[in-house]
Amino acid sequence: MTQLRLDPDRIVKFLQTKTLGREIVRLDSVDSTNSECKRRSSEKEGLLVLSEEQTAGRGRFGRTWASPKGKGIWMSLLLKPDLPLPNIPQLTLVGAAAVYRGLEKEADYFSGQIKIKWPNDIWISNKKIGGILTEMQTGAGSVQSVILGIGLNINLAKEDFPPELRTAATSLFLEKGELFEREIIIANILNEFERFYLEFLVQRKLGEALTVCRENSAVIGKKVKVSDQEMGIEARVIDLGPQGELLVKMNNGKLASIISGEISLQIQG
Amino acid sequence: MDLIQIRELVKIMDESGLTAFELEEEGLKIVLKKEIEKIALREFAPSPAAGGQVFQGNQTPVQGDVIESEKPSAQLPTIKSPIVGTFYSAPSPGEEPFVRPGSDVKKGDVLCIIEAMKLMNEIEADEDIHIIDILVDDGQMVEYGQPLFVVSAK
Repeated sequence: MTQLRLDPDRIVKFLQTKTLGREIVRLDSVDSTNSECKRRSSEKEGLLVLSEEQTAGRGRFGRTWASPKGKGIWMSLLLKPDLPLPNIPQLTLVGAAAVYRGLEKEADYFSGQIKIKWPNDIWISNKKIGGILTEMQTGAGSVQSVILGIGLNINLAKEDFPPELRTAATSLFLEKGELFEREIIIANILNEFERFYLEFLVQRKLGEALTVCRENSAVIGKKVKVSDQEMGIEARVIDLGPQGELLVKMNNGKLASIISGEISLQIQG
Repeated sequence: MDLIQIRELVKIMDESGLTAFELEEEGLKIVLKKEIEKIALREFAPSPAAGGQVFQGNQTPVQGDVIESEKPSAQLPTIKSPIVGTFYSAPSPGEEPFVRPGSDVKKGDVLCIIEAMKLMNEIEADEDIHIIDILVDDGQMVEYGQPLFVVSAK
């Protein structure tokens, strides 16, 4: 258990999926799993790229993401969804719901503490444990491929985080004091993801995934600051809409929906 | 063009809903820009249709009739946004934009990113093109189908 190198055979042993993760590329090191997945975007849907470390792991806007060797889950899935383009951004919530369920299953100790900070961050005890970065290439109005990247801090110790992140980020190991088997968590996430994904493809709307995101939201009922690059406004989050958009009530009492931009939680509840 | 004409232009710009205006003549280029409130919020539509393209914008679209009639671009093809989201002209803030007016772009090159729900949609050129104009500002909300670039084939 908890060996340094990920074992694809062990992942497969726990997989219940038809297509997701049936082809696995495991690397010792890569710039970022999303970039590698993008370079392989001509391959079949379901391709899973895993790396022990990322040398240029990315958050939004090219922000770096600490992804030290053998301690986390740094993975990307290649998807080719047959969906109208405007529906595709909702896949971020499908990913968030799958990660939530995947973690909950393996680490029931954390039950009730795992939260989804809309739309793509996963928190445990008010600290970030991971996130989802979805990328899509489009041309001529159609989807060429969607790459869903998941980064999760599993067995990272305190010193694995850069000092400036130590108060804001955590890992399963830091929270529980024991090491976790990454292969099982990866398989759990893929199993959950495929179920939510198929439902989304067939229904063309978020079903159970939306319920998971609502019930475990870190932001519903909270005061947030919505920033569009330089300026921000304060609002209270009411709910998630049918397409996963954030519904907020602004200070002037008006309702608004948010689908993009930065959301930061305000400390005063 | 003389000073009086330029004053006139500024006045027209001031009174109009336009936020940007560019004019290029032989040996002369005039760029006028007006700062406007940018916000990622739209009035909430009670029952949005699938795809969410029914939200009403609360800002004046930047691509105005005046610009189009002043330029030959009215007849030229545009590249439109495939989704509702935030337009980013560069890979990250402070970096060089993917393209500028006047850029020559090869098929498959990235023109911009539209972000929605933290999904970064890289819009790629379908063919070799020349960028004549960019119709939206970095960080601006764009609607489904909103023209982003005026282009010409190469």
